[in-house]
Amino acid sequence: MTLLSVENVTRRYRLPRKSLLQAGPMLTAVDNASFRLEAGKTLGIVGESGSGKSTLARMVMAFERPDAGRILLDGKDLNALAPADLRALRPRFQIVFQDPYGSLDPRRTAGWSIAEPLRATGDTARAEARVAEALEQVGLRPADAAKYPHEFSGGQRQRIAIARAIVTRPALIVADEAVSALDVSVQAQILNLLMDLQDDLGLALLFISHDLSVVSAICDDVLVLEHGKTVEQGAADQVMAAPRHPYTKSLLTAAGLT
Amino acid sequence: MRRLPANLIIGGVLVAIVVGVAALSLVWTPHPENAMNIRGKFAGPSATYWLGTDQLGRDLVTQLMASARNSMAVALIAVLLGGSIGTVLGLLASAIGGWVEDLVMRFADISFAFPTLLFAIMLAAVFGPSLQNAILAIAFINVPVFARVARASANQIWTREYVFAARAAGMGRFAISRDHILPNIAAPVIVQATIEFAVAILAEAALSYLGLGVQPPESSWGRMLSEAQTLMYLAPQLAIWPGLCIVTAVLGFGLLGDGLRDITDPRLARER
Amino acid sequence: MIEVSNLSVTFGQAQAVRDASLTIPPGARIGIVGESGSGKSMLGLALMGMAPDAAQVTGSLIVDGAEMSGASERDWRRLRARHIAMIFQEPMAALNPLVRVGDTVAEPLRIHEGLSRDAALDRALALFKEVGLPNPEARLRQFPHEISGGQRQRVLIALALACNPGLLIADEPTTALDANVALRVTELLTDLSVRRQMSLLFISHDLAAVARATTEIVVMYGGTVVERGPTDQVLNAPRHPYTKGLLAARPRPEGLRQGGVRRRLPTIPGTVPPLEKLPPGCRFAGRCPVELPQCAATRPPVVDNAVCHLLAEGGAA
Repeated sequence: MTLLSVENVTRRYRLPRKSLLQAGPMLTAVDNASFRLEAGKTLGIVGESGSGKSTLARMVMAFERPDAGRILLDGKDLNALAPADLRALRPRFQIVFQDPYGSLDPRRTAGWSIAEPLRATGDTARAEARVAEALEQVGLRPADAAKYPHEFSGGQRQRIAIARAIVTRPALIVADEAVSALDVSVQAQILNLLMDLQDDLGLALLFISHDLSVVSAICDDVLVLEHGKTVEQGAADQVMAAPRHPYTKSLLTAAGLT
Repeated sequence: MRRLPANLIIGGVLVAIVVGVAALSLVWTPHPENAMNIRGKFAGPSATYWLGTDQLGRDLVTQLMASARNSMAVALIAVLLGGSIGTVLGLLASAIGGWVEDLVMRFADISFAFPTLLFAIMLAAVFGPSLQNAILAIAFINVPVFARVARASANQIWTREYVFAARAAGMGRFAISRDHILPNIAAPVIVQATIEFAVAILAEAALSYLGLGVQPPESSWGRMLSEAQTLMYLAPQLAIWPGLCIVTAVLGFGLLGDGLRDITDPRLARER
Repeated sequence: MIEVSNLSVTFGQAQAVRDASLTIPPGARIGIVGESGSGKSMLGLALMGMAPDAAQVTGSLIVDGAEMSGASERDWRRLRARHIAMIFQEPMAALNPLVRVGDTVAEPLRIHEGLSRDAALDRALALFKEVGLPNPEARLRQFPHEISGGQRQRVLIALALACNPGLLIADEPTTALDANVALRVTELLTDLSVRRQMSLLFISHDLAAVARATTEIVVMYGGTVVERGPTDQVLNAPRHPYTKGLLAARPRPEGLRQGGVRRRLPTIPGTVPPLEKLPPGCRFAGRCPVELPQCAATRPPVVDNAVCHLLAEGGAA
């Protein structure tokens, strides 16, 4: 069953003007991207800086609107929904960011942050118990709910961010460079955690990363972006074993995978 | 333990003295307020009148203490009022963006171009001189100052990932402003408030000096200066003491604000 | 030739580096590998005499025969100008945004070698060519924000080379760069080291980059060296339990699903404890899967380049 469907999505930005009389040139950050993500599966979006992968993530999260194309979650066009309906749909899709130091409000306890998605939809019944459950699911203790972000290590903070993302039992999590800032040994723990959660909760994962080796370890399918254009798309095993586009090949070489 | 900057310590001590004296005047002054001793006017310092008396024979220390209380009260109310309105406007501008943000910021630009005194004189001309109008005028000039500080700080916080996470959670703009933005811009706003407090004390003194602020029989440093003006050659001490008080208070709050800025600015904190 | 023996960097109770020893012969390319808190960057800073003021540095550091421990700031400045240079992770942060990159590189030449501005700029141009900056004449007059991240790192490498150092310390030089750019910067550093007979100390958490750039590896954990040896040997046949755990934790594309289930990555249990809570013996004790009773309390001996009690007792980690 198709959970997320991205159809011919394009996003352009106007760059700052270079002279007073001319408008700035347009940059096409994402150029006609299309993909489908089935429930419970993992799709990797791979690209370097400026590839448009983060723009794509922001559009899937409905933080930004595409200039053309549609993004459908559960068959609903995110950009055609009324604000209240979009908000009601929010518990179905959540996001985990790269920076474990920037993704938690330094002035709020871990428990407060994890409960935020519940409060946002007024779904606060048994909130405390559900926060405790989420903490245990990510390998932390319920007592950690009372601590502040600075009391945790980077890996633990990323676990808290994941707990916040799963507390509403979403169908989709967008992981935007979610393991890129972590050390190799911590990264392995978090990747395993994401895989465990997917198997337990039936989550689909849109896994955005610049690191092909990480993508290859967790994703069913991959989509490779270069300057906003999709240069390769297919099953992860196949793309890794037999990349067709030279850009994909160069990424594999650089990552030491060939 | 990090060493505290000198301006914070000196400012803190000066502020503590001024606020302490103002608070003390609520329960104790050497003589009853406004008690006149016509025969003892222009007295020099003595055991009874520590700094002497003024042209009506009122004890100078008592008048300075009462003035401190009035000046503090005016500055506090004005900064709280203007600061709250300004901060809320700045938060709204940042949260809504678009034409609302443009409107608030253009309003700020225009009111910045307007001299405080001129505005206070206008208010006085229309509604008559009163303490209330002086407070309103000082509050009004504070609104754009705080709106700018709040908006600039808030715009930075809006780009943080935890704010995006809150949006992903389904939180609305106003709830995010309340839960995340306001607590995280509190530091720069408080710093600004301390500095504006110093400005407000000065503004109150200026307005009272012109007769547009605190009205008799209540006294304030500005009023004391204004009354002493005609007696400058006869009794210069009547102008010097309130003048010194204004300098102390303004310097104290100014230094305290600078010191707070130093320790709350992460860029500076990291270098230490 | 640089000889470091028993170098320690201490902050109060916490030892960021404990008794590190290292010999860097001319032209050697040595990698220092470790995760956050391993002390690898602190070791690099200590070699430059740039450890934070709050740190106490002990041990011996001999550079070309001169003992640098207890040296004055003036001696360190002379050393940094002539013998040791360093580049960092964030090229933008290391460049003054208001100075043209050509002038940035020319400045030390004018100060240390007394060259005129034109002569210094000529040398800067030659350096820009050497580090492979495209269109080097035009680059001289550009500001840092006008060039890409990879080009900025090349400018900083040119700056580091300006006074012909004997050793270049590169602290995470490729971490902030895209994969393809990182690959080319790594190749450049290797080439320069070979061509100039300049030693290279390549500090990184990126094992793929270290494997490319170096012939020898030092693995650090919790402020101590746990293993060292030829790059191939350490990466292909690690001996220390930490090195083994670290290498195994790397994600690899070896058939994603087996029997419909995705393979989990082998992990090192637990997290790195804070510096002041590290065990007094082997720093890896408490997380080590093959720990012996004596590991936490007593310091392990060196066995064939690995520092481990188990190996000393003839076991295989």
